[in-house]
Amino acid sequence: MSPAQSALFPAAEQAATQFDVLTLMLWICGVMYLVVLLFVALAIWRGARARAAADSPVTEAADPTLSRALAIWSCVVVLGLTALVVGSFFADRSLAAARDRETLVIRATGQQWWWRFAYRTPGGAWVETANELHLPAGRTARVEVGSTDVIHSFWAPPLAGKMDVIPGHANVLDLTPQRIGWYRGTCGEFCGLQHAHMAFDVRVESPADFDRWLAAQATPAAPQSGDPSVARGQVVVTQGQCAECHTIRGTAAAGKAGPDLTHIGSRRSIAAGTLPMSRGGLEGWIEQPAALKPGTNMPAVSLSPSDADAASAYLLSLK
Amino acid sequence: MGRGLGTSDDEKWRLNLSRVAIALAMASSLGAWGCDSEKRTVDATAPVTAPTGRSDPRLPAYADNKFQQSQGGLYFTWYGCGQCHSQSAQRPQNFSTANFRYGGDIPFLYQSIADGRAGGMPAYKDRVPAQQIWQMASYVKSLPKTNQYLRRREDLDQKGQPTGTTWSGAVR
Repeated sequence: MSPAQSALFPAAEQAATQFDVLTLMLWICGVMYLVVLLFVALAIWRGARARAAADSPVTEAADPTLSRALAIWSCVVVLGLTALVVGSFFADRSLAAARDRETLVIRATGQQWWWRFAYRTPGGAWVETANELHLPAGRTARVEVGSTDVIHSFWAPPLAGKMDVIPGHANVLDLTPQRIGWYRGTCGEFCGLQHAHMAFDVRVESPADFDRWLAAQATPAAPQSGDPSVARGQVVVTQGQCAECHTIRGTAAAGKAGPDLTHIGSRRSIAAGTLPMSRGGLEGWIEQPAALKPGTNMPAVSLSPSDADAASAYLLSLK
Repeated sequence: MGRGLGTSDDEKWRLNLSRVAIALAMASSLGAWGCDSEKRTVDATAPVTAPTGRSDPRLPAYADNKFQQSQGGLYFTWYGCGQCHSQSAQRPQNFSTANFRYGGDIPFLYQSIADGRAGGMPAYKDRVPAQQIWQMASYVKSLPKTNQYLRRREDLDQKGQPTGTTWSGAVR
């Protein structure tokens, strides 16, 4: 299994193009470096031989072979640089080329310190989720990235290079994933205290799985659990302090500042890759967010232990 | 006297000495006053209750603290307070003057936010955690001391932030 966050194992067309440039650069520069080392070794060997032959420094006669070798070497350097320029030109051209975009547009918004992802359903409505990007394999998704606060950088190494996330400006990035699997993306530009905890999971799945996932995301929240505390949890979350910042579609909770929690139980991680998804993790995050992610803008909600437990049971049941 | 034209070694030496002295003075004054950073708390010890009065020991950490004020401004925006209030004089309930009807200190402002006031201000104590009310009280307290020019940076910071329940995203 390939690493989840490595540009050396490309999983999308864009990353593969950039990997080709890297390979080209590695070969050209590697060969040139070896030749330079070879000449250095030759010079050391010639110097040692000359010193052994005479005590005083000797002035060597001009060597036509060496002059010719230098001329050839200059040509090789120019050729190598030209190959790199041409290679990167074609890579840039291919990255910027218009692709078959179908209708999949995704808005990714960086916010201190998590990612908001909004998908457009076939019906034209926008559906929000957070910290988990789902992409259909073989289709091109056009990701529009923006920021609500400072400069971030959208970076999922197995899919593509970095794209700056600028407040007040939308940058655009095309992703054409080819290999099904889970990957990890992160913020690639220092953005404050919790920059290191601003990651997102990427799921590349078959187009049929993706359509099913998107249809499920578009539905309103429906707790799926036989746990008796879920009903209490729903009251705590949707009528208490959580609702001021979080949206749970289908309930009274309609805040916009924080991540959409309508299907939080189906996600892989909590707080932008800080914790794996679990009931204990959710409860700890609700009660002491600043202990897990110092500086986070998620406030500590003072709940009784039984209410916090019920809230985590409810959130986990939102599949 | 032009530099380098007939300057004796002695003069050059004195010039260099005075340059070194100025640089040293600047560096030491920077160390003495310039790098004095404001204290901020980002740990888990946040207030969970209302201020008890003007002598509450937690007040100094919130009154006139730029970090708490800017956090208060952020939550002010997030919770959509600007739908009724404004920092300038554009809306009826503006905070640009020091005429607070119920008092302009943090304990009174906290009470106004937490318990509401007659005339349409709802109570937020069940909807907003205590620390955020502390921060918003600190922010509102700071507003009469600023103006649109001093607030320019902060206004720009808050411009792209989500607000209320109808915000539709930073990317459009």
